[in-house]
Amino acid sequence: MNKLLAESPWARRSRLLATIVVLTIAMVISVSNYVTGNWVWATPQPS
Amino acid sequence: MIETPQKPFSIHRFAQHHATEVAIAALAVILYGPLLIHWCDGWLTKSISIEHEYFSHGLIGLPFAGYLAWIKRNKWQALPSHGHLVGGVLLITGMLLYLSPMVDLINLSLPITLTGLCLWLKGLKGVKLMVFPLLLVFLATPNEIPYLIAPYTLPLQKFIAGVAGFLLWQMGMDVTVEQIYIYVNDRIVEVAPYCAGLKMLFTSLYAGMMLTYWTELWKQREKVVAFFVGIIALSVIANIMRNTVLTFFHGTGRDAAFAWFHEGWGGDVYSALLLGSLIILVHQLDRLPSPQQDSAP
Repeated sequence: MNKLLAESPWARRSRLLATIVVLTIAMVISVSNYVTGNWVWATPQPS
Repeated sequence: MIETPQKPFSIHRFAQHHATEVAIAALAVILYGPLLIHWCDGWLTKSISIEHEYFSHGLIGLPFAGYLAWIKRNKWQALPSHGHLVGGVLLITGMLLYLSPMVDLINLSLPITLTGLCLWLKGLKGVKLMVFPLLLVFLATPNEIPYLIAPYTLPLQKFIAGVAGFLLWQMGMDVTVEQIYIYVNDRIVEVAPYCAGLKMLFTSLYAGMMLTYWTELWKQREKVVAFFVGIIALSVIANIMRNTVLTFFHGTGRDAAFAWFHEGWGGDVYSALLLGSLIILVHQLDRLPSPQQDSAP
């Protein structure tokens, strides 16, 4: 783990790629929720 | 020493050198763009819940946070790329909250994800550099805290109702005040929590924080204390005046004027004047000699 958090170019690149993977997974799930109608904003919000 | 000529800024070259950073920024915009549009639309058209409307100061605070982050970009790039594990945990937590079915948790995922990104990519130094923009985002994130605070504003509501009633009585009107209700000519005005100026107080304190940072007043503790005491005093006095005028309009049957001042653009003018007075206040405080200057030989 320390290797991943270190200052080396490899560690930096790995962290950036890991970030992209996490954000992409969230985006894919969110889009699939939207497509299947399970998106939270699809239901009216209390005002 | 030979100076190398600086190349002009090119988006193409920037994207080539920072492809992964650009991809992260693009994903963040895709994820949170709709949420930010939802907030801004809700604040502008009042289509958001009343508790979330308390955070409409985000309309000025979020662009300011973005601007501050942008002007700090060179310092950000110069920081050593030493990550922190907690940042990764926060990032994953932020994404889980983003995918939750609860609106407040989705909202909170924004500051958590941004803090996680700073910590994960640049460690504590990254968070330290971006602490003020992150604070602005956090304090503009809609949540249910106003709902929890509202019951405690009853003494303030009673105080405002009492003073407004007293002022109207001085003007020769037949006024009766009961708790938070003001009766004028058989018409009732309720000083509700929202009318107690809680929202405007939040906005004023938030704007005050921005001004304190912008003018670098935060370096002088005594002036900061004086400024924030002044903000609270101004906000309460202005709100007493507002409620007095509203009761006068309602009690004397001036319904169009009441609607203009209560939910029309008259209320926006009032808010703008109050925020303008904060600029005057900070300017006056800035002109005062600081205690350090006074004690200097």
